[in-house]
Amino acid sequence: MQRYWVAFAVVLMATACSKQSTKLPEAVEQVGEGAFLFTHNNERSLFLVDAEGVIVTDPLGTDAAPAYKQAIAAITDAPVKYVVYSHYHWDRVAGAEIFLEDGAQVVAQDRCAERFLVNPNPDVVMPDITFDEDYIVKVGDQQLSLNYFGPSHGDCLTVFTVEDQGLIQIVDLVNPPAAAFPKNPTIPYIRPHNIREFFQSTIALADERNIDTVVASRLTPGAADGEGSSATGPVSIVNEQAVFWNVIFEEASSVRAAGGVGIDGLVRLKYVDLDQFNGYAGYRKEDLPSIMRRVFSYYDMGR
Amino acid sequence: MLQKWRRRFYVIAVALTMAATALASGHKGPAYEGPDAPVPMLMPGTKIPLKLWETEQVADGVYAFRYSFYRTVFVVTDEGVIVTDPMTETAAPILLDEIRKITDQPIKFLSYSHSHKDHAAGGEVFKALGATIVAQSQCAANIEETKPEHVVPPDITFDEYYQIELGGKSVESFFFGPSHDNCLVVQVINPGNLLFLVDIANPPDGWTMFYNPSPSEDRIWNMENFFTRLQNLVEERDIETVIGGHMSGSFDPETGRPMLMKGTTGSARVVAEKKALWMALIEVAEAELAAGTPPEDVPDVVVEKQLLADQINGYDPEKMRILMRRMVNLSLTGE
Repeated sequence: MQRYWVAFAVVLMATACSKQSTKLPEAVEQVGEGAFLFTHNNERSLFLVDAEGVIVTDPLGTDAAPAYKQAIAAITDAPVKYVVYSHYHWDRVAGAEIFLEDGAQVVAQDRCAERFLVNPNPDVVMPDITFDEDYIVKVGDQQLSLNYFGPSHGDCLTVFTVEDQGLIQIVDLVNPPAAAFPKNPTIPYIRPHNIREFFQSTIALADERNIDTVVASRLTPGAADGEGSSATGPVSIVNEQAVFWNVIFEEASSVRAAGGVGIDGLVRLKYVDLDQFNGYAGYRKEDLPSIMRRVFSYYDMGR
Repeated sequence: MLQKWRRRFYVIAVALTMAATALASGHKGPAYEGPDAPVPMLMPGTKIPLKLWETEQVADGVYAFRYSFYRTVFVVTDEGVIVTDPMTETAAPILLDEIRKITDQPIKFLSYSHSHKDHAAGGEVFKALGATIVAQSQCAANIEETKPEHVVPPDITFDEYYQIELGGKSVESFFFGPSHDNCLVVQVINPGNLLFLVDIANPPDGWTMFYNPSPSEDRIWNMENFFTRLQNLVEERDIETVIGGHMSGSFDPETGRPMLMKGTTGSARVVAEKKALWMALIEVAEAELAAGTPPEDVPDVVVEKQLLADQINGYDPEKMRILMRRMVNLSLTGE
């Protein structure tokens, strides 16, 4: 009889200790202690699990969010306490409604909230909590730090760090396994007046917090079915991506000074030192005129 | 024939914009010594006789000053002068000289159209004379944020509307939300009931292909709202005439040679036309997405179907692909 009680107690403990020992859903990868990455189509979202509750970052849209919620439920019974937006683009932040059933609160940077007011989308839930420069979301032993360093990709992109695990996520700007050319060479979202300063501040933050790992926010562009994509990579990728932007600005400046810009406003590639770019993931030399054109217009207009 | 003329018009319009960009971007070519100095060649094999700058009266006490392909407006009254954009540190002292040829009245106000330094720089010469600088509040925030060279921060800011009234004449600024830049205002100038538009629409034609098809400083997500409000203003105020912040080009109907549009003003119908262009571009992309076309395929599909090709002057399939990519992004991300 005593053996039955022992067996029963073991089952109870196992249940109480959450479902983390079970096999992870296909769409989920573990990137740290209680830190997971959910993937839907090409987008990836970080979530942190504690026995007291879950911190979800971008819900990834109304199609993804139910699958996201289901994936979390396969790992833990703990309720989703917070949904934290990385920025205001709908492809990342629509769909939070489904998490409100657990009583989740939505967190976003001030400028994100301002944008949702003037450019509303019925599928985007307005934040309950907003912040200006930094904010910490804490549930049990899990803590997600939010830092805002000015416009970069859109006007309100927030850097996520999980300091005690050495993780950083910079959605849509830095993606493992390597620093890359922008997916869209017309770079409509990049804010040239602050992008280099944004990276400087982010690198300083990573240094200060001994961050060693960058977490993906999307599958590697061009990787078929995610093949070759990495959930995480070394933090050095952040520095390499910063160097990419610095080189773009410096090269655009030098080429222009050398008269290498046509009357059509496009750079003439023969003036460009291409060798410094061909090591970047997704490099296409034919994208350089579009990328540099944006830099030229920044030099002209100041923004 | 009409299509041919439209394409020609487009070519010269593009060339003018290119040259304007080149001038603003530091490719200033030779040092200019006077208004009759040569203007850079616009296209290979094309030379257009054009003064580097000129001042033209467009209404009682209202003057348009053009420097290269940029244009600003100033209003002379018995109590002082109101200037809109100072334009650049190169153009502003010349603008002041031109004003001084007309009046000795003090420069009382400078009123920025937006925060981009190719229009808002050069205010130091007016500030030194005691001018009060007026700008929309987000422009002030932009200037504070990036501190562009030669752009003097405003003394007076406003959110939606501001009227400068002086000596029975006025410059009214209206902010209809982000459009080109996040703080661009449209200005109604009286006498004349003239609408001064900078960088958002330029007479004579609103259906012209974009010079830069990835208009990163255009807030497309608010264009419908912006143009609706602008159209309402045009109708409520019965505005018939627009002054463009840039010069426009065309072709001599007799010789076919490239020429600059005479005069400075154009029809206010450009507002409705430009709105229609934006809406058509957005709708085409949304319709393809709604029909199930994968986002990455929309640009090619739209070009293959020749959608809007007959309506856009100077239609260019490569530019259309880039524009469609931008419109798809708008649908997916809201920006």
